[in-house]
Amino acid sequence: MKTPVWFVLLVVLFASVACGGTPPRADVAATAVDAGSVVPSGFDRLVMLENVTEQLILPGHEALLQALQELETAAVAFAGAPDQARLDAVQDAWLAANLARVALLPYRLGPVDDSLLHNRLDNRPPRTAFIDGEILAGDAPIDVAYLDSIGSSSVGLGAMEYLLFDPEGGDAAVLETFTGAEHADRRRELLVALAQAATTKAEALLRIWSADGDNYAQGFIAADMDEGEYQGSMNMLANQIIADVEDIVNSRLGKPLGKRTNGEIRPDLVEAPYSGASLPRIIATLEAERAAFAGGEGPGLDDYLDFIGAMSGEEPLSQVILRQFDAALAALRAIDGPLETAVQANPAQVESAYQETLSLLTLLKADMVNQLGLTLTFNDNDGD
Amino acid sequence: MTGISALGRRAARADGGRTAALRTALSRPVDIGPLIVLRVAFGLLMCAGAVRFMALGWIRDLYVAPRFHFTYYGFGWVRPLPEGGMWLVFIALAGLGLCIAAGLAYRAGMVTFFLLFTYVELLDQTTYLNHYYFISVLSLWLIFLPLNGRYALDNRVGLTPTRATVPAWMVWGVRAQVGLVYFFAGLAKLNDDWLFAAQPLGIWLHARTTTPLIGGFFDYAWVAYAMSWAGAAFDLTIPFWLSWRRTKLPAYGAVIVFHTLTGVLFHIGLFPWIMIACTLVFFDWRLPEASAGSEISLPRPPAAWLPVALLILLALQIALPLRHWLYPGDVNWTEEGGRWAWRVMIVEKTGQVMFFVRDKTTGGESVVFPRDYLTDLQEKQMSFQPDMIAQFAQFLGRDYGGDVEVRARAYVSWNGRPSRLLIDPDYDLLQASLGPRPKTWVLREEH
Repeated sequence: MKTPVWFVLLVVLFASVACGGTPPRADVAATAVDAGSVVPSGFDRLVMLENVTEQLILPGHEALLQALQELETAAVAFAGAPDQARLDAVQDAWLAANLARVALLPYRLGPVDDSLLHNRLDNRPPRTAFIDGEILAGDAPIDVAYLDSIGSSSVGLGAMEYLLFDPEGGDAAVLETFTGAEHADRRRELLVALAQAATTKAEALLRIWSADGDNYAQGFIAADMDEGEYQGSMNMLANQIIADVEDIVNSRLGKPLGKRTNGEIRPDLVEAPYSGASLPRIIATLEAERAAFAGGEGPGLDDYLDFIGAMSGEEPLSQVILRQFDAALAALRAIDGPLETAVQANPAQVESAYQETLSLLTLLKADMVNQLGLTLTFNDNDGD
Repeated sequence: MTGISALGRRAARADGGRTAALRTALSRPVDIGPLIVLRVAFGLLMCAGAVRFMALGWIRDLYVAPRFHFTYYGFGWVRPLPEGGMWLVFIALAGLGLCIAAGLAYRAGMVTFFLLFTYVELLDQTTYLNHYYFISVLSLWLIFLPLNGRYALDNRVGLTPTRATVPAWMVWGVRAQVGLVYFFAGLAKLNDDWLFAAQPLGIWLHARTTTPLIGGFFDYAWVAYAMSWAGAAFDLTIPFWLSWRRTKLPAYGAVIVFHTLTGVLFHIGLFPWIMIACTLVFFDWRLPEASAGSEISLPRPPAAWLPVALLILLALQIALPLRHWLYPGDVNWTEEGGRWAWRVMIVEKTGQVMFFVRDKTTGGESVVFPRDYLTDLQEKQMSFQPDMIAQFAQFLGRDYGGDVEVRARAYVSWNGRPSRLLIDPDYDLLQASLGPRPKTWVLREEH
């Protein structure tokens, strides 16, 4: 052959390479949606994502907003006339908001994660020295704008927990700090402002997802293939579930159980040390992860695993995983008393919950990811 | 060909006729065209690869962000430079790619490229990819071949005389090297999973049903089987089809289709393009006659040791992919002998691993999740590779200090099997040798 032929071949080759990188996002998304509508596949992943979005994500965010609005109402009432009944009400509302918040952990995806709104809602542990020394003892006007200007560990549900609960002095001591103690007036202002700020964050979160706002719900459903990463949304969701379950094992149960401290039990390292709400928060998280995996009542990752014929020995992998979710939840529910008490009084119960959750983690991270074929798309480096 | 003569002298006496004919065929001068095409394609691709690496932010992700690097046995001293230095390395690699393509200061450029590229590859086992290894091997070959014989700035500036031909063994040596990649990739596919369970392709294709036009077919099992068998047949035989004059052109068409398809379906970066570029060397490119007045010198005969050295390199390339037979167990499970063997895309493997650091004095034990130390990519790669697990355990031992033992609980799933323990959970990995000897603490997979 003569020169021009190989030259043309080379030019074609390099033009292909140049065009073969990460395609523009819009093109990919459009292709995925188009392809999805014509693919004669027996399982439509888009329908699964739609189900998760409509049955779990959107209602979950609405529930969080409602819980935080109720918390705000209760906080305003309590700050206006602090008494035991109103303290009980605001504490109950605070717990409900916590459970609504952790139920959204599996959906900290894409722009939601980037927004850091979850951080501002619930970043633990709270910086108590800053709350006492700078906010309460200071003279800056306490309002939402001020709270938005300070670090996330001094605001949100963690900071409110520090104000609303006292494991040693009990409710009487808490009431005292809001009535007769030094800075009681600023404490009342802070509680209300914290609740108001949290509500604005829940509104912002809902705006990211809702059709009236950024409509990420639509982007999430459409992004079955995202940024050149196949199965973008399913991939993200599966990874987030795994990360959350690992966090329960590694930190939320592992730390108080002494798994990070040479076996030394550390009740002080529970995630909600003032309220005793660590265990309900962990249980609500795992329930939410299970729901995200199962797709609530509709199609979810479990159905997809069934569709691709994923087996674990003689049994469908989806059933093995669901059963392990239930075993871990049962072990968590069997723990007597608050986590900080249980790690000392009944460490075997907590250890059992830890082991069951660890087994779940293994099933998700090794078995499920293997069957989903996510490895090649797991990271942004090349595979071979 | 002095070298070939030296090498073949003894054998020639025993089997005179055939060896002599082979020697003559290999010594025959052939057009330098294939090597020139390879040089230009290789250089431009390497430049594009380095630019892509920088543009994707991988310098920071892979060499700056990690606080720990998985080094290769015997190369623990190879460390990343500070971020600025790593940028310079990649800028140099991109520039060297252009120099190679242009044939400017070719020999020095190729040596520097080989050293810098191999340096980068040695920094962290996490980034091991067969095609990166292939680039290192190929660039080692190309150092010794006169790829700047024509269409090179070296000719213009008088650094190297122009030459129209090279001995045939130079072209066939490179073809053999490229062919070995395919052949061993094909050989590795001759296993139960690939042929009789269509795995891991079955898993991967299910995950890609949204691929435009063809995605809808990927839910059918027969498609995975057909692609598995076709892939194995392609890999095993394509070097021969590319070598035979009559089938060259359709074979190259198949190369383009095969690699484009894998490139579209799987996230494998530059690999398809590298192979599409390198297989161009199988064509007998005939460059136009030099114009009147330009000087074509008689090629200087290569040093006698050169063909011998390249033959040894080739022999090593055959031995390395076969070495896994020296280890007990299935290489796809144990990973022993799995690297540098062109075992490309034959397993889907995932793991979940955690470590236990026990203070032998107090008996206290801490649990370590890799996420606290490693990047996601490092953790994923480590989770199913025993030598990396042991290396990280030994890092933890040093990090904790004192009289400790470090064990690992590593569950691994591959090609759709339920996860199982990969290594002995009671074994103190601080005692593990990271060398090439069989690792007794790797558990055998019974399936």
